[in-house]
Amino acid sequence: MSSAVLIGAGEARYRRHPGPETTTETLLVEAAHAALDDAQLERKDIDAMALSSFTLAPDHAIDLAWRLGLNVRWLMEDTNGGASGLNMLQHAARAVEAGDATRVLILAGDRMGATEFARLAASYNVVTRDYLAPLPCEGPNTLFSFLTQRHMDLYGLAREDYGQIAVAQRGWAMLNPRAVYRASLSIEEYMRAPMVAPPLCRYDCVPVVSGADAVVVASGDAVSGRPCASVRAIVASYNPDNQESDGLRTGLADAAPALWRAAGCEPKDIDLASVYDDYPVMVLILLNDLGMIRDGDLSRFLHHRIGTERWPLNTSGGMLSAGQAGAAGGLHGLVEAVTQLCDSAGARQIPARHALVVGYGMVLARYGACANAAVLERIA
Amino acid sequence: MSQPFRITRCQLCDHAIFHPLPVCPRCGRRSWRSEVARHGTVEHATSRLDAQTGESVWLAEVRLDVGPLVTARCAPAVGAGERVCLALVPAGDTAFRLLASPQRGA
Repeated sequence: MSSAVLIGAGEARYRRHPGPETTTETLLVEAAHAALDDAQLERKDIDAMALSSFTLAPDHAIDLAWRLGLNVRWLMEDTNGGASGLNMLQHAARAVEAGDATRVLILAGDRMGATEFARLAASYNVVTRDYLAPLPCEGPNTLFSFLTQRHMDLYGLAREDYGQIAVAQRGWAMLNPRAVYRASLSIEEYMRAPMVAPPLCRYDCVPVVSGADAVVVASGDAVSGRPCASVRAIVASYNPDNQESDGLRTGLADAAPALWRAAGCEPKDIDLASVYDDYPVMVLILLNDLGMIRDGDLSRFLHHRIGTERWPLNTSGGMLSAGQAGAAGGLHGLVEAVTQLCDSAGARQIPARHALVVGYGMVLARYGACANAAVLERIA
Repeated sequence: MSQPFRITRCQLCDHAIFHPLPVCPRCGRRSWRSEVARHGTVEHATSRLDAQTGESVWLAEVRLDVGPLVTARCAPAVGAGERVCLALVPAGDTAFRLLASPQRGA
């Protein structure tokens, strides 16, 4: 178990249509101040910083440290998209354990207007630029249509099964004033929604937004501010299969025993989960890899646990309803878990002790190559 | 005009891949030859609207007869199990697009 603790979290308001005054930097600054306020810290208390952003270029982490006025002794920049939040948390936890840092401000965010998104989608990596964009098949929707079709074939699931996730998360979003989509959504509306890339409909695909997220990690021995969650365990897997498998199993399937052993608890002890939800199919795959779906019965999990019991999955509404703000998508679920464990979640507050946070991202050719998971525990 | 589509095969362990890589993912060595891949079978297909043109674009995952799974442009309403021929066609000044066309007489 790590001695690192999370002492604050914050978010720049997600915006569907950012005006010209909104830049990646203004969003990151807004999130940084929200997290510092939440942690009851001033900027002089921060001695380390981590950043993930697709659109801050040509600036880097050191530029942002300067512009925020942070004088730090530890600095990192991460490029792992939906897995960036937990990768930065893992590194930050080791830094405070080793004494290289005392309080780490972790930031992720992007201004994602239509132009920025199109540029990112067409030149995500060399394979996308040279092989997928000319089809044209830029952006992940088509690839995750194929993946969802494979998943449907393997497990005998249909659209209305996956729809349980989108509908349930919208129910949570209705309780979150920060979510960009808060109107109620029924399974009938989901089934009638316009197709994006069949079988994926509008509600299976994350709304692109502009925004930023931040958390503060501190050494457990030197806590000031407001400790709310300890980091019990983090595991990660990068490029587990050279993109030569079917994408229906992530590297977390092999890493799961180490996660639960280090966390000192079991899947049944988890009270709340933030799972990277770029598409509903990935929520199922990631949870199943971690042993979170009893007997591997996906249909029962979807209809009973999620549909009927409303088990606390992505209680912010997830990216599907709150929005995907570029690299901030990798930190959004961690911010929600910390918010819940700090009792700051307002109308959607859950009495949780253990939270699971799962990241996933970076489609190299066919599916995401990065996955990581953390178990957090409330500090009483 | 159109060109034959080529995959990459390891000269040492015979492993075939779609996107060229510097190192063979199976044996770790670096000795490649290219090989023409003409035929395959559609595993999955879908369509999406192209943001620039507003037109419907059909795409498929095709299992090549020589092994690798590739992502290709295809004709409308292509379905799983359909046999296709593969070729590279120009897409813009320098880029090429992998096109999967229904196999004649299939």
